[in-house]
Amino acid sequence: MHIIKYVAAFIFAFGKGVDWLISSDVMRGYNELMILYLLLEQDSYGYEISRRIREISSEKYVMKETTLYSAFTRLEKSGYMESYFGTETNGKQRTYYKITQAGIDYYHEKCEEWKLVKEVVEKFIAII
Amino acid sequence: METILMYLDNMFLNIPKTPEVIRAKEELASMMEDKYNELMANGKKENEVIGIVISEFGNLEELAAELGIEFGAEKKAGSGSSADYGSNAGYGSNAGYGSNAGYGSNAGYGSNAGYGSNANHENREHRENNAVYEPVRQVSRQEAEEYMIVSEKSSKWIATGVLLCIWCPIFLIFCGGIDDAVKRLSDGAFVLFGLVPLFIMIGIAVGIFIYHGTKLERFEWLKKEKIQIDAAFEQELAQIAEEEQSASTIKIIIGVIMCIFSVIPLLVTGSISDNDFIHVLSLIFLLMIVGLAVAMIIIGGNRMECIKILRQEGEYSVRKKESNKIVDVIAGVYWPVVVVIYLAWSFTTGMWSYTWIVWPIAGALFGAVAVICEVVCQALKKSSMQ
Repeated sequence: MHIIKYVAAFIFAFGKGVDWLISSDVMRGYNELMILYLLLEQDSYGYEISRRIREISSEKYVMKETTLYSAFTRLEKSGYMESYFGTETNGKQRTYYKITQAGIDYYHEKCEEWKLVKEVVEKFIAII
Repeated sequence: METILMYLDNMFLNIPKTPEVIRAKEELASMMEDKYNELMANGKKENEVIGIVISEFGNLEELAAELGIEFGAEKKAGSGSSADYGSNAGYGSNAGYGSNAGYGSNAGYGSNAGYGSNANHENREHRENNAVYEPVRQVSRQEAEEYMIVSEKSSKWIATGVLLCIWCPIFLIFCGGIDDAVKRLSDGAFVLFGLVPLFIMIGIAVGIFIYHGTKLERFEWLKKEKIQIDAAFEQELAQIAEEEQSASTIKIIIGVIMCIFSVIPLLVTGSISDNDFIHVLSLIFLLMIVGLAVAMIIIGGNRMECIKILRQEGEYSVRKKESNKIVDVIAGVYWPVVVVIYLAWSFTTGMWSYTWIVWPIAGALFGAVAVICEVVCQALKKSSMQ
């Protein structure tokens, strides 16, 4: 029965490899950084942010709607961004998000943090 | 788009409607709508688009902290009412879902696995999945009752056919016994009293099998497809099953005991008597008893089998039905390949007396191959759920 398990695991891994996406677990701490980065450029709304993240990551990272919304509420509660209602040219009412000064500071903080994380983790990455 | 909104409604069904929750739902709906519109504008098919949007939704547990919802507590409340869903026969027939055949093609659809901690939703989602991958066929009470009646009738006939098959060599054996022990028989007598009854009995049996086989064929889908029977009737069946379980089990036990005991006369006469004619009579007795026993098992087990099929229990459970389909596909490729191997080997080497070994090996391997494929398929399915 062990062989069956290995074969299954192999095919399983192979199947996963075909459409490799980064798991949201790994990205947990940096979803907020991505959102804030996009808001630095200009105010934006939910779907646009999600689409831009997908584009910038060359489709390697797709943020789930619930992940995105959970990050929004956290950022808003912490005072890193504000929301306001805006109307698009086609008349659709949307919640727009705008980064605050605290948010800009937080963004830079997170960038520094990432540099450190990257530096540390990199030391443990073997060259395959 | 309605499908997506309906999906979202289902997700939020058991969550208290606080202002935060309402806002979250609106925002999620807006994001999903934007995504839907853009994908549609890119010229994708609607089924595909719905699949993508739903698969990329995520799971509500992620929002639990932000919305101040306790998913743990909800689990209890949810599971209490999930029973209602079980009996909600109409749900599976939700034509809107069922008709979205292409919808399930997106492997990521099941990706809300984490969300399943809410029992009620899990149930609902599970049903949706069923409906999505392949529509659940509704079985009306009338259909189910008709099946039971036809099957009951047929089982008696089929049991008779089997009885005839088991009994058919009796005359030939008897002739052989007389020939040996009493009086030489001519070839003509052998044919007339031995072979003719044998072929007549087999002929009748085959006729019965074909006739009742075609009669039952139109109910074959009950065994193969995912079905849903009328909830009230299911309850009745459960009751019938409970009442008749022991009677049916006793019939089967008697049948099995008869089979085992049927060899006793042959053993006894074989050990105490040298008279071949008595051995022949014991053999005939054995066949008669085995025939009756098998017929009894067939008739005795039929009703419970019907109930099993209708209630999708045991080997007719939804899971088994799925794996049977996989096995069917594998068998469709496997056996022709084995035939090719057998014929190629036999013709090229001419060793027909050895090449038969392909068959027992192939038979044994098939079990292993089927199990491996089943496990792999299940693993793949699980991976698409994560």
